[in-house]
Amino acid sequence: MSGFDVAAGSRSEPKQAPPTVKVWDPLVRVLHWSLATAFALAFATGESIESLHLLAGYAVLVIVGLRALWGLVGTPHARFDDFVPNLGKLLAYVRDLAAGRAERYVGHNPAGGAMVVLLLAILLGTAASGVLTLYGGDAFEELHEGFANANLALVLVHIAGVLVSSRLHRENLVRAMITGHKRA
Amino acid sequence: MSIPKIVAGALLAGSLVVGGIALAGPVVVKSHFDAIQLASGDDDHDGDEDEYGKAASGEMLDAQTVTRQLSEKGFGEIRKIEREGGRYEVKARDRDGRWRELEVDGRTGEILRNRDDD
Repeated sequence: MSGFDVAAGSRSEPKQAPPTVKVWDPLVRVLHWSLATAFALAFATGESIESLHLLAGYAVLVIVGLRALWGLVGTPHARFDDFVPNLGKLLAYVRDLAAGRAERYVGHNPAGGAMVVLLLAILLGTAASGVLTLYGGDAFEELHEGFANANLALVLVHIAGVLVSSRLHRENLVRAMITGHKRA
Repeated sequence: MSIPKIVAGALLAGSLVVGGIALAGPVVVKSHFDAIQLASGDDDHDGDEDEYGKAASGEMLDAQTVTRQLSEKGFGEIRKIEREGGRYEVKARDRDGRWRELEVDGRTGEILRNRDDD
């Protein structure tokens, strides 16, 4: 079998699936999807089931903390050093994206990286203001709702960004966040 | 130390601080859970309508009493009742099913404020 492969693929480019590279480690993927689930649950139970809402909110807090820690000590593409852009890089990327010629990144592209930080920060703010409502006060409730709505808006932009980027580079970024693999 | 590392460190520190505040736990969190149990399960079947108890501390009505008074006034689904100083802050639905945020005098049970909570 292997001998046959070698003979068949010797010169002409192989027809088999293109080589993939492992990008997202298991912890990144588990934290991503559990964070998405916890946020959805917290958002859905905000006006009704208090105990479940608290549980989901605390889960968000723990996951944000773990992700930040993993951003310091994790695998290469999990680290913040790998994807948190400076403003110049971010703006340049957004300009390229608008022109439909954005460069492909194996890890997070600059806009994606900025979104990761923004989402984590707003989620932390949401959790913080939520904890503060337990100490009472209308102001914190208003703040908490404001954060939660901003969060939802960011999630939608995040999803839109994933779809645009997937289309542009003809790859399925959602699947990549599930399997951990991307085209090399 | 790179800026991304500082960002990650700030998020980590922030989540630890918020987690600490949550764990330090305001007293109301506990009374809050008690209130949910009290509000959902009326196990007081002695039929004694006048048994408006006083809380152990001072002259405050306890959460159960306030809950009962509110349901007698037509409020339902009381899902939050938190003590704030001499008042209770309550979230409940009114007769028309709208969420209200109430402030109840902790001593008299009088509704001091009743505003829309949507």
